[in-house]
Amino acid sequence: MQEEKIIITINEDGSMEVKSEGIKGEACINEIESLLQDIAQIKSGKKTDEYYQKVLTKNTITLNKKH
Amino acid sequence: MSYRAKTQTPIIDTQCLIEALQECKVEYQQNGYNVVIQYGYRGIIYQLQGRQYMVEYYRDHRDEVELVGKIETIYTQKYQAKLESLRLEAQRAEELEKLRLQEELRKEQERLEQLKNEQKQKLIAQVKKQGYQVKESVKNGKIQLVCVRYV
Repeated sequence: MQEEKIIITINEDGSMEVKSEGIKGEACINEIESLLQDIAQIKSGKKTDEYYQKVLTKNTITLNKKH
Repeated sequence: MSYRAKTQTPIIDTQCLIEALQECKVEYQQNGYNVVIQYGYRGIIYQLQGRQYMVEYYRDHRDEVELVGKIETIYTQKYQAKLESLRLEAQRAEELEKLRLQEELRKEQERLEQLKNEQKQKLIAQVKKQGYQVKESVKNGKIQLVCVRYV
């Protein structure tokens, strides 16, 4: 069985950083977007080198609170 | 022989002077002196034992005015008390403003904490719905949610 991980950090000012690990391909972005759709608005996203590999292992997104 | 130097009292506050004159008038009269106070167009005129003194209204405080003995002392005391009272009032106002700002800040922080907590609860509910197990921790004021699932 493969481990899929999402690490969410809520900063002191209420902004969040979300990082996924071990989720393959575009699925990692879909997973995070689906998680955040009703909670926060994504401000920026950063695809790591691993994203472009066949098997995605890490992806980071920074977001703002949804007002 | 002795030498005594004394600067004259500048009159800044007419109200304090009027109060000092009234107070002295009673005391001088009790001691058998004749005191007459007149509030004229240009200033306050007072007579003590036949001698006439005048303090002009709105006198520039850099000018110095001769006040007679006790009147000067009482005026100075009253004026100092007034200054002290104003100073305390300003201090109290400053403290109240500080407390008001602190309270505002506390409420704002409370509101932010509440929003963060609501956000966290929504996130936890959502990740659980997506099949993750959640582990929560707090470090340096930051909340961290580590969500894991096995596929």
